[in-house]
Amino acid sequence: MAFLLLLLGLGGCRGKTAPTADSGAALSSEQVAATWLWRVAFSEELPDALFPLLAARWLGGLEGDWGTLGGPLAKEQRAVHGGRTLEARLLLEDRLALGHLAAIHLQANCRLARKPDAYGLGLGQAYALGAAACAGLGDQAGQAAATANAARVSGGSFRDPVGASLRSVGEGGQQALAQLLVPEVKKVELKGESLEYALLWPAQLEAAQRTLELRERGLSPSVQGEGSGPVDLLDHLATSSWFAGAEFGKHELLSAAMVLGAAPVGTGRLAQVEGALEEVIAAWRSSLVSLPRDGAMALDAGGRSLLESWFRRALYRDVGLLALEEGDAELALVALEEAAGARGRVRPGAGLDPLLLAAMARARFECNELQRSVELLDDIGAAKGWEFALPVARTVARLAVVGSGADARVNR
Amino acid sequence: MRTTRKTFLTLLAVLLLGLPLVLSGATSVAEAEDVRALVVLEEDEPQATYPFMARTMSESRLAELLFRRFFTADVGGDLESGLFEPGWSSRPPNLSLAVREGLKFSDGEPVTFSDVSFTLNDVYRRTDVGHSVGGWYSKIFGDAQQITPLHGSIRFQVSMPDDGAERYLMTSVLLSRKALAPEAGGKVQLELSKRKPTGTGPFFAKDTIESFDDVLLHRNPHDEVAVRKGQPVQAIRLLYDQDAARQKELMEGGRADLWVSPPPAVLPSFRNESKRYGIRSYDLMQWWFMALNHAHPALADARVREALDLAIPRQQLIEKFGGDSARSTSGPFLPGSAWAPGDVEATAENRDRVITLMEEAGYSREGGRWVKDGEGFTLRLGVQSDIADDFSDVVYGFQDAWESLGFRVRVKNIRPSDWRGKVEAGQAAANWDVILGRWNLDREEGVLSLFSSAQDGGPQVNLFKYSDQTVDGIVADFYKESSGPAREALMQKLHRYLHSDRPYLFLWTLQVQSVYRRDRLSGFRPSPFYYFTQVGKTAWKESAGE
Repeated sequence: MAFLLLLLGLGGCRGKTAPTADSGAALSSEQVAATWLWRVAFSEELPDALFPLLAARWLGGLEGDWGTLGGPLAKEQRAVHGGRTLEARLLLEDRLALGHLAAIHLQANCRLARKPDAYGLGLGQAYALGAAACAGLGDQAGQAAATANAARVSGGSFRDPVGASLRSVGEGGQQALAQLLVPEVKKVELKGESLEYALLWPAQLEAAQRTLELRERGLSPSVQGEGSGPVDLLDHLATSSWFAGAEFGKHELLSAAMVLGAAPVGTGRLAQVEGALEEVIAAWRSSLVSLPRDGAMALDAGGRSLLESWFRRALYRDVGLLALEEGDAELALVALEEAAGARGRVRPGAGLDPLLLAAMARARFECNELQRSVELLDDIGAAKGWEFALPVARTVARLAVVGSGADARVNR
Repeated sequence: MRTTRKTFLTLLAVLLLGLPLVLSGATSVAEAEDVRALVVLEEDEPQATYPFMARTMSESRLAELLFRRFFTADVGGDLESGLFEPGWSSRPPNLSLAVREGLKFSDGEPVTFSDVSFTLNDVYRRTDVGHSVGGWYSKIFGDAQQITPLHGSIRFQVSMPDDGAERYLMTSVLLSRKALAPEAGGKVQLELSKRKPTGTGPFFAKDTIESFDDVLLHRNPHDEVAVRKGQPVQAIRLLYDQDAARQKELMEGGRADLWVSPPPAVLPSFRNESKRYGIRSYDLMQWWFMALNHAHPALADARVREALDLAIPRQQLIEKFGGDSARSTSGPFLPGSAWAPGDVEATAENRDRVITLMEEAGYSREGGRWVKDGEGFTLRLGVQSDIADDFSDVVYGFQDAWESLGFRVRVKNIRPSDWRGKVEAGQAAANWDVILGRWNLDREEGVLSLFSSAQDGGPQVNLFKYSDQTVDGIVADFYKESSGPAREALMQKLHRYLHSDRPYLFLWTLQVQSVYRRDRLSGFRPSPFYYFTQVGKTAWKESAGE
């Protein structure tokens, strides 16, 4: 439990005094103790070997790198009870993160390739890639425009050169997965400058996602065999499934899905959801403040602050991820930025996991904050094993400078 | 008796029923006069309320509250319009628009097609009414002789036969003919109306703005409210020209609700109080610079300019902003931009190389300062006053770094009035040799005006009238070119050239984040550059703080 001692100030969180409750309906001590937050912090359920990884990924407090996309757990971590469950969750979240990056890639390439001047001579393949991206999005008009552009600059039509070869992929090794995501680089000399176009085909991203999915399935039977205990905890930790998937108490402490379900998409939703989220957080805060002053459930200010920060991050992260799936990019952006601590520059680091950051990059993109999306994609691409985010960043960067025609404003 | 009693009871009933009505009427009047205002801490005091006259971000943001632009980008980047009915058609060279039914100006006057043609013909396309955008609109509308109402829609000619001509009108706002056109004819008097402008924006100046350091705006009663829960914001009070220490005090003391651009170093204390404060990123391309006057005898030498650049401890200064708020830049395009070549790095501090370069330029150190042919030089460093006020440690950092290497520096603040009266009037060189400032751009293309010698008569943004044939050639080629790769190559060439020629020493880009009272407000999110575009979605919480 070295990690916990570090986080909680050498166990000083179990306080002697507690202030009075401020507002909101408080959970009972039993309910608080049943949450993943309390269990992660104070129960002995989770093996020590997994804590550094959990902290680096979701909880914060300890630095650690992301690991390569879909990379296996270390042997000693895999061997402990719950290790394979954790590995399955990491694979799932890596796949979802890859899915968000792929969504940006498809949209950006499709939008660019529709424009007759986006690439020009010698880059017919880039238009063809865009046509494939439009096809992946179901955008027939975009696909037709991009295909026409490809034919115009190359004098013929292009076919996706990698799609067919990647239709049947297996789990493969880590190296094979990395190879799937290596782009083809085209260099163009123009006006004395050397430009690079890294062509990452949609089929490559799809194949990588399928590979990760196969690996997840490969783990499933063993995961089922792991039984309960830490398993449910590892499945739900850092999410708004506060009671680790159990029905117990869920109506007393709303999940992200319940908050969003009560606020249908439409004008004014952001304000409504924000208000509701802060009420949920207030209820959790109130529950912590109401804990007995003495005994096993006593908690000092440091402990409350830590559990509140985990709670806030998990709630906003889930809301952001769900809102993005619903197509509400504005709400998603606000929620994900909040989950990431409202930092000026967000990049891979402690408690900032791949799914959160990939989703944030997508939310920024879909909110038309293209420069900020590029910044984050570049930072994601700087993480070892996540270099495939760089061609995505370059495409978005090119989209960001497409002329809009409007009078460019310069102010002091 | 019976009649008298009946009359008495009737009167009593009227009194009992009427009194609450009278009282409630009195209350609502009182409330109307004393609505709770959202207090916003802004930057420099504005001098203009019309967006086409804005030179600062605070002026642009104020204009966004008062006026509605013809077209705006929605969250996904597609165009939408609050002024025109959906379904407008853009068929080059024509753009057909129909004004939204029932749309009114803040003074209650209905918007007509006549207002649209007035806005474009009598204000934007004119070069004699006190703004500098006439030249740009002339380029856009070319030879089109008129913009006239036709068959229930506005039809006008755009000389550029490009798809999506409405994109040209993303910075244009709708003005009122009735409010602005002189009854006796003649040109529009913008200066006279700037204290009580009439627009269709979400807020309006109910009373004449007497002082621009404290501006109270009320909700435009003719603009629909987009609040689902809580109370819509009915008034906004904008406070300008206060230094960061005072703004922090106001925010922490509960006397302000929103701080637009706090120095990044103060953010952690707000971040730690997440129950009370929220922080939202403001998507703004902001970069800091030191503009150099190439006509200065010492600065005319490229080696001296490079020496000054190498003397700047960028990383050390960036630390003063705290966290990851700032990133160093290598040229006019920001890191990650498609127009910033990947192989051009920001200049790294190199004190040894500074000395070598100065000696190569013929200088020697005498009495701790650089001297050539018996003559030393002192650089007059002008600093934008808000930077001097809020980032004095950064300014000292520059001064210290340069003086420790033998460059004499005299720091002088540039007040906003001096910026307008001297810098924008083309008189910068008479007063300063180096200017520390920052630019904010809505699109990267905007940087071209900063270095191009061809300025179209408006306020000077090419601060020291930098003039270079190579740069002018690249800019001219860029505007002739439509191919994406060719434009990209030209801009990368420009970035590389400006990095080495140093009309500016490029410093860093700063991520701006706003602080707001989370316990009072919900639904607040700054829009890119314009900030207040979506302000109508912000609501007071039902139990809104103290």
